[in-house]
Amino acid sequence: MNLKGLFAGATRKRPTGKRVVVVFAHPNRSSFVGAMLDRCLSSLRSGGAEVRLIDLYADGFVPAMSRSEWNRYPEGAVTAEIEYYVHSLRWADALVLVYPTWFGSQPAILKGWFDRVWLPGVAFSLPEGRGHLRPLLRNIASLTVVTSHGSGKLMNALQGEPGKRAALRGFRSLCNRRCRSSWVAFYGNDGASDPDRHAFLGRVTRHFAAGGDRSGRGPGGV
Amino acid sequence: MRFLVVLAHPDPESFTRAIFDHVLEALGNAGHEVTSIDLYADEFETRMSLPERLAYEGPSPILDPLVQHYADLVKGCEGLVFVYPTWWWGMPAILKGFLERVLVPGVSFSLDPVTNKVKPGLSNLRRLVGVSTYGSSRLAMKFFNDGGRRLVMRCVRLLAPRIRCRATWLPLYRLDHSTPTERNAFLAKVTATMGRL
Repeated sequence: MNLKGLFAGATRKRPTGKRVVVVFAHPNRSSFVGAMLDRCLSSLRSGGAEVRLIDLYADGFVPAMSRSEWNRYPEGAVTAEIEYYVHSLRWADALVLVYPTWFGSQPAILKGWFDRVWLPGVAFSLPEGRGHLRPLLRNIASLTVVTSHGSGKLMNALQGEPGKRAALRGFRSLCNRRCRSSWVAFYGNDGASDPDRHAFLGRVTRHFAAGGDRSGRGPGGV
Repeated sequence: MRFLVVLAHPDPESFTRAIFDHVLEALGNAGHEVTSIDLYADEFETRMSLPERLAYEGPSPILDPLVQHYADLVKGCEGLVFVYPTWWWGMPAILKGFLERVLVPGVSFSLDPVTNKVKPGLSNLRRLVGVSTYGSSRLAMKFFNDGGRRLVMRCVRLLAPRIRCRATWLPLYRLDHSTPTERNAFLAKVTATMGRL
């Protein structure tokens, strides 16, 4: 058997499902990023996925971890304020992040969501005597990022893409071991024309209609 | 030299706070003029609001008096120091919010209206320093990538056009497993490095 065949077999065994949590982090729903979100939602829903939207700005989410949360961090206490988010993370088969890339990475409100919600006992455990984290979000088999960058690819390469790496390496490592990740990104928004933006929205639609990856696993399969 | 030191930690009894105190003391002892910002104590608003987002590309992107005060401090300093714990391969949200809301067009950069390229605007900066603590090891940070370090050492530094802006990174890895001796040694290192800037 060739190597390609081996990997194809491995991916088929991953949990598949249609429960999708979409996290949106932009203050303006009628912005370009808002349009990306609309495409994402409609494409997922028409593919038959069960979608739960978390709109952090609309929720009035407070991103800065408080002193009492910090002191109780090792316990991983889930307060009423974040309970819904924790429940959603445990419920999801797939996670989609839709945000603008500001200053090289996720907007502060989204960074704060990770700081406050991806707690010990929720996203990871730290077994005694082991130096590294054990992932707990093994129910999440797919992670997709849909984002737009003001600056071009060169500038982002110089900056080192901190946001991309945090998502695709970092947060992905807390999901299922075989979690599939995709990066659907628009670069150079500052100088872009409307046809460019429109073409990207088409790409977002196609991405989710094709099952969230190039293998074309079927509509809405993310 | 005029230094601005920015602290982002919710707990005034934390080790990060001890680092911050050492930084201030060492810079003061070396004869620098030091101003500091404690983001949590100032109850800095982390989120960029909708009106701010709409004003971002306009002539006056700053709407909050505290942000204006911070922007004046950033424009007036020659050395900029960030002290924070690394959470999830990056800076705490409140510090990321500081970068987004304070280092806006007109303060840290401008956009060329023709080419849409970023033109650096922090020409006042001559020293840029980041001091951070990590739960992870250095190796793990290499693998996952140190997003916070990149934000300081690349994203902010790219906005300082001077060749003489020198950047320094002071990390303490595996804080959870460190001994008091290691932590004291790190504080001594911070003091020594700050004294030499």
